[in-house]
Amino acid sequence: MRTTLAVLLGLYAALAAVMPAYAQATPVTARAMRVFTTDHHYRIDVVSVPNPIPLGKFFTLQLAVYDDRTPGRPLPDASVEVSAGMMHGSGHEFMHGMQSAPIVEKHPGRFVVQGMMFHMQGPWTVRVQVHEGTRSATADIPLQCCGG
Amino acid sequence: MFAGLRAVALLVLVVAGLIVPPAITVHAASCPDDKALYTADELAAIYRHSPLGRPAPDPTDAVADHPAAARLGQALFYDARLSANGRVACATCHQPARAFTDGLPVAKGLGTGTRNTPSLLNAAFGQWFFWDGRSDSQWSQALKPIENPREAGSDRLHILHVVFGDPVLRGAYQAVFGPLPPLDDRRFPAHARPDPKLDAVVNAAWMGMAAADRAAVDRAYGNLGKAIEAYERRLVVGDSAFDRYVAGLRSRDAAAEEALSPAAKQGLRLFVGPAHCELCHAGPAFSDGQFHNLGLPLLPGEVADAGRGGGIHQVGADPFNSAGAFSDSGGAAADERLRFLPSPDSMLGAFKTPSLRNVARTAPYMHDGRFATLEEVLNFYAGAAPPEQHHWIGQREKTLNLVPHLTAPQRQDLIAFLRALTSPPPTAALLGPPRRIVPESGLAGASGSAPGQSIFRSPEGLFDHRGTTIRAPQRARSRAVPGTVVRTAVHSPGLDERPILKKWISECSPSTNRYRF
Repeated sequence: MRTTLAVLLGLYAALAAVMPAYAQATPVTARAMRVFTTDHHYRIDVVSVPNPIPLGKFFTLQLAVYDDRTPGRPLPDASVEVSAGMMHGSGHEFMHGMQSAPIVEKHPGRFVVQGMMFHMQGPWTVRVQVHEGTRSATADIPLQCCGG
Repeated sequence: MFAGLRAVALLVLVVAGLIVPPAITVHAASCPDDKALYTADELAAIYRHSPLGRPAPDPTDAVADHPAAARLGQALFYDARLSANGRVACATCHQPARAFTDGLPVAKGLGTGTRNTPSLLNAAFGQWFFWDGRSDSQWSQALKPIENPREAGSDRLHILHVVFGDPVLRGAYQAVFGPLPPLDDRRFPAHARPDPKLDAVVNAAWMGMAAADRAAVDRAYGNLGKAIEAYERRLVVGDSAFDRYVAGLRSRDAAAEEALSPAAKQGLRLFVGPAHCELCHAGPAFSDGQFHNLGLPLLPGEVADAGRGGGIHQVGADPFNSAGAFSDSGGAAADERLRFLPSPDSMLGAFKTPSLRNVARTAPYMHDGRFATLEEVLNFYAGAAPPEQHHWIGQREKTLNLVPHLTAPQRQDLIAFLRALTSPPPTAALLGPPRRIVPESGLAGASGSAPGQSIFRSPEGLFDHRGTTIRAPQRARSRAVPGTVVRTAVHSPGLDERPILKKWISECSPSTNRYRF
């Protein structure tokens, strides 16, 4: 009986020690998300986005773009344009966009998108257009709004 | 044996979800709760609308929540001397008895405007001001009607001369902001303002002033707007039947849940549910604070209104915007909104989502006051007739397509809910000119200068953070404890001495020689 109790207490203590560490291991400002352009040429990783996204306030999105066939190769000549909107179940068409015009800055290995703002609750779609030379491709990133 | 089998069978059925445990049924029947009326999503949406809370701080206005500034602003708000003909005040259009509107389709001051007068109740929750958001702060908004020829038709020099020439207003101003420019000097004309008509007399007078004098006038003029904002920020009312109902939902108070009629509860369900109203009329203020093109057809004779498309142009060029020299934010986070403005073309014909709080008291409706009743508004959104596509300016937002056709009883339910958003008016002391502008010495909450403004004592005198020297008699300093009123002389660089200000000390620390007024 004593042995059983000791084992149970030990298990409880071990769980109590592990749980906070597990909780801290999940960063609150990053989500692992990967999408591909419709032509499957580019892979886009969402490096960071606030979680939750604040309703009606500006936030910053960080994206990394790769050539999906050679993901280790940097894309020095690539640029991206970012817009966002809500489809409200209409398929692929935005019923409205954002009320801000984000600014994209290119940094080593990532694009920093400032000035994003979601003003409505619900599922949003971030539309990323990748331009590289004469090639352009588009990918959609679903994001849920909002946390308050 | 059979009893045991029956028990096992019953347990299996319960586990399988085929039988609801009797205890839960009894609990639900004995404890009626309106929460059961709503889905989890609807309930979460309802909670997002109440309580109202307090407006966010305005970093662009250092005196936004300053009692003495609010009293000055209240005096200015009701003072018709500020207008060109001496008969138009802010309160002419923003009438306290009409929820701070005028009941007219479009505003009437010295002339007739083109847009409906919005209520000032809870306006402090906004991010943009005017229907087109051409102001990004409440204080910069307050400045524009004063010089609009269709509204007060006045000019900033005239306003400042009125304040300068009135000992009470002048004292109240100087107690909050420090000295006015020396307006009795002839280099400050009686009337002057920048005017789009470059050959206008007022514009010529303005351009004839030295740049430093124009800047001093603009700062003082901006300060008057900040005082008016301080008053308007007090016009917050959030004790509606709906708020009491939500409080009851949260606390499971069955009596409080009776605050809404059955029809209003049905309307609430429509509002947060299938009618999709809350997509735009979001949050505690029942507005997302943003701009939407509803595809309102042009009325006969109506000139197309660019709405937000024009507002974006104007707010960026406004010297009193949040990134400008007269903002107290130092151009910090406040100017993010200006940095990320969308293109004007994308927002043509869009107008700001109005708050729905007190909406039953703010008829007529829409930016041009075209709808006399809430019934007409609901007919537009959810009536049978689809909009005709070629009659509006800009791009109609397709979000409107989400609003379904509602039957007449459903529309009446929604209206019952909207009527439940009416709050009692603000305290009577705020519904007219203030009884006393300058507080008596020692009044709680009275203060002499901007909140948080530190005064530092040195052998040369007392210095505040703006470089103004404040000298106080040694005797006054020695008894400078909280609640003390000291008489001071104020010196500003380049200006004559402005004697005798009353400074009410709210906090002091003799050990560090810091005094907070």
